[in-house]
Amino acid sequence: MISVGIVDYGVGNIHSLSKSLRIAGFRPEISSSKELLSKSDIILLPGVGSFSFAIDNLKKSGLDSFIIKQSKINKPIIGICLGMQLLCSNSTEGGINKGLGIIPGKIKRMSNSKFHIGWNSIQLKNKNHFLKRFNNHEFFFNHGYQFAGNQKYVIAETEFEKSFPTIIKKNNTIGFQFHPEKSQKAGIQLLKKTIKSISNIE
Amino acid sequence: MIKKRISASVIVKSNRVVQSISYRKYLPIGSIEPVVENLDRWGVDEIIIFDIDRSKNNLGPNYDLIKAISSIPISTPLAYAGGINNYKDAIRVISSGSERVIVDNLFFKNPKNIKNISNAIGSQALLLALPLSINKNGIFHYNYLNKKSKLLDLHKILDLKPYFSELIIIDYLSQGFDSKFDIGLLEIFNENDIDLVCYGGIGASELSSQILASKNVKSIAFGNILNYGELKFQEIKKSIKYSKKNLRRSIFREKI
Repeated sequence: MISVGIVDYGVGNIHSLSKSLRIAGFRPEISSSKELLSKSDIILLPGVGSFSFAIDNLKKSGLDSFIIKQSKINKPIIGICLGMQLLCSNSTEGGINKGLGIIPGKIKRMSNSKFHIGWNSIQLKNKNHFLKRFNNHEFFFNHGYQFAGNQKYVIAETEFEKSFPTIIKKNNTIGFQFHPEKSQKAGIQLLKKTIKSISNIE
Repeated sequence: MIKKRISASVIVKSNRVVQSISYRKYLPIGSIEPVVENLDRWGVDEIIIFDIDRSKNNLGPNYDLIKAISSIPISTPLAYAGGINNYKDAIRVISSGSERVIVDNLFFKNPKNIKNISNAIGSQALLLALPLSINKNGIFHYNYLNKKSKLLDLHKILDLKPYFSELIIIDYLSQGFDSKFDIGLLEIFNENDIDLVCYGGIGASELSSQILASKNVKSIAFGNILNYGELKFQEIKKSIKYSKKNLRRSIFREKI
């Protein structure tokens, strides 16, 4: 059974994420221990919160450098919502703050200065991607900041007055702007497919 | 295109789900787990929990209740209101399993803490809920702790606007009645571009479509009506005449 280490850094809906992973057939482990997290097959960075508060918490616990090191050894990493944003170079939320820099790109306020909250569909750029069956499926979003970076990292986009990136990926690190764990059947299936694909364990 | 949401509200009093009528009368429904499990199976767009005696009794949020809900488990977005006083409460509510946090009485008690909560969890995850009524003298905000209403201070809301994402306006006098929500409540918030969740006496009627057609309304919430019948949510959604392409298709499921 694939083990998923959920990073507990004081921000994020870790409890519901853990339950969702369990029903999806994985073995979740919530932890702030680097030793324990490094033993898991996949590292999952959750997040509901503000960027500045979250990155401070990651730094205080030393988990920031741990996650960066894990990405360098090509450990599969998934970031969800704020967790996705933390994977990027920097963010303007709560002042300018450096992120983990694993996926190059900035996090900036959405162009219309609105919040993007609710259910919206994703459009995959490459129709042969392992997530192709989720093209045009709807997922639950809850954010006011978005990724802005090189298109080569963008797997899927979503329309909200303008299109913006909603799945980004570099090497074995993938980030979802939406909450698959709270997107009912489609969300759980997407999590399942992603974890199996990037861990290379069937 | 982002869809407008049809949310389900669940009123909890002393750990039991109740039907609430105008914030005055409460009728027992039962345990929270089967109620929430049904809503999750029905594919509602969001579940909003109002844990109404937490602030009144200074109990703080009910983390065990939130954990019990997310342990069912559910895969529907959850928003929780009840006894949240500061950012530490809010963070714990989220880690227990709620994606969004709702504050209400803090608006009277300590608005500064609303800003602190927002700085910690992000304004996207924070909602403000206000029980309101309207008459020819204006809009009144009801303080359910001292049971008094006073003229709504719009400036205070506008001052807090950067710190919350959506305002839940509760037509509390209409709560428990069908098609009574006063649409006049929307105007002042539409003028000030505040995103809204409307709740209280909407009912499955033409009124729901009228409310949804309002630009700033992002969601309407149903409460009591959902307790009367299996797949009631599907029935309500079907009955709404508002543009179907702006609503999500709810998929009933036995289990994932």
